[in-house]
Amino acid sequence: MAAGLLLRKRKEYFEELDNLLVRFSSNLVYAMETVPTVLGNYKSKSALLGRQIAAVVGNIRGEDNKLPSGFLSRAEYAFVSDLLSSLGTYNAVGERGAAEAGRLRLGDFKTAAQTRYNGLGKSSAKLGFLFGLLLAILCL
Amino acid sequence: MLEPETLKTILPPTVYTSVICNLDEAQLQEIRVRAGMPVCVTYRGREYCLTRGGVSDDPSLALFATAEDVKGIVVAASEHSVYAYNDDINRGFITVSGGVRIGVCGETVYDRGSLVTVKNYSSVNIRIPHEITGCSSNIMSDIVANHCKALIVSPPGAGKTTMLRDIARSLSDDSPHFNVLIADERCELACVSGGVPGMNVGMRTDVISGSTKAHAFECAVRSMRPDVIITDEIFGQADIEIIREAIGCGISVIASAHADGPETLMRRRFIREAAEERLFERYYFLSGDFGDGHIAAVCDAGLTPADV
Repeated sequence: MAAGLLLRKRKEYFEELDNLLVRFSSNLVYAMETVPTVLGNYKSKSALLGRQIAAVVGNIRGEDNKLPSGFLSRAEYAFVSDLLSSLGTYNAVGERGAAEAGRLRLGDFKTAAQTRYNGLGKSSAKLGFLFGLLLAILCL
Repeated sequence: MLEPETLKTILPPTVYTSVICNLDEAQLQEIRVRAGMPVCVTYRGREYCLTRGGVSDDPSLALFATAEDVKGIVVAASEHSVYAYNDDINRGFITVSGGVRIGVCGETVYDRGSLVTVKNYSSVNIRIPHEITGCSSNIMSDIVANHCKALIVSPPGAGKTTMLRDIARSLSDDSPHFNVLIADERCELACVSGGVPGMNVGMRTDVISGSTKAHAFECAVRSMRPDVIITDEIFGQADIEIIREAIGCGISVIASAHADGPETLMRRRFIREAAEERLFERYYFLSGDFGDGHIAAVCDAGLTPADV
């Protein structure tokens, strides 16, 4: 069940990160709010992404935070680190290009996480539920 | 006013440490960071190379900057949002909190004759403004007596902007309390950042930042009802025409212009025309020796010496 929970958190994380990039890209077309404003206004369902956003905003303000890695693999962490720290370093056209490229690459991680969750995560969650139900019946 | 945190977020760590540990911020006018070159500062009115231990005339002792350092300053000054400051960068500068103005140089990119963006930043000039409250006190009564139609004249760096800033504050806050509008084309007078003036320009002062004089004056006349418009660095016939229109609408104008004396000033045709029409009732010439708004001479509307 714990494994199922982890896989669901990973799926949720990459979905939320993609939503953030969509929000950011939209901001480049309309409001042109600064990176700290966009990140600060984004309410993430993923606790890990929320902590990473807080670290990035703190770094922009002069702090020296390390992005938490959580359950990310080394490759995933390197990608996310680079993605979040390079936000805002280009003009609008360059930023849109970078965000699109980021979403493409992110798509691979997101698809992999979704696939693993669909394959194992759901089953683990169901098994965990059945085990809990059995335990409850035995106790009764 | 300038907060130490502002410099800390903008400057490379070695440069920041040297500035904070060795220099008196009140005496620091500029920090120039150029890719591949020594970092220079204008300190106590003179230019030096910045070293780990302070300042020196010897470039071999200086801290050196890289292209990455220059880019880092631009990114930091734009709150890590270069795209949001693209228009400012295209105009050549970013204004950050505390009134710090950062001039940006780099490679320009044009598309069909229009400037699109600046890339590959090569140098920045971090200008630190200083308020001298009361520097206009000697001439304020004369300005008011002459209907607030004045031109402040000096060579570059003699304190025109500092003087105009204090004039705005005094007209606004001291009796008889004028409504003042500052047409701050290059964001140097009020140094507005995030909608808040970084300098004290008075409680009855409105500021239009980053706009052409024509647009700012038009907005002022149509909707802000100022008693006095203050603007920096009039340059040619178009600026005089705008001022003429405002005065014709009953609004006084105080402006500044570059020249090192009445003779040099009168060589400029648009000034001769302004003098003939008596657009300005007073001309105040600042001395270039002190940089703090020292009045060297005062002339009347016909550019003849006047008693103040």
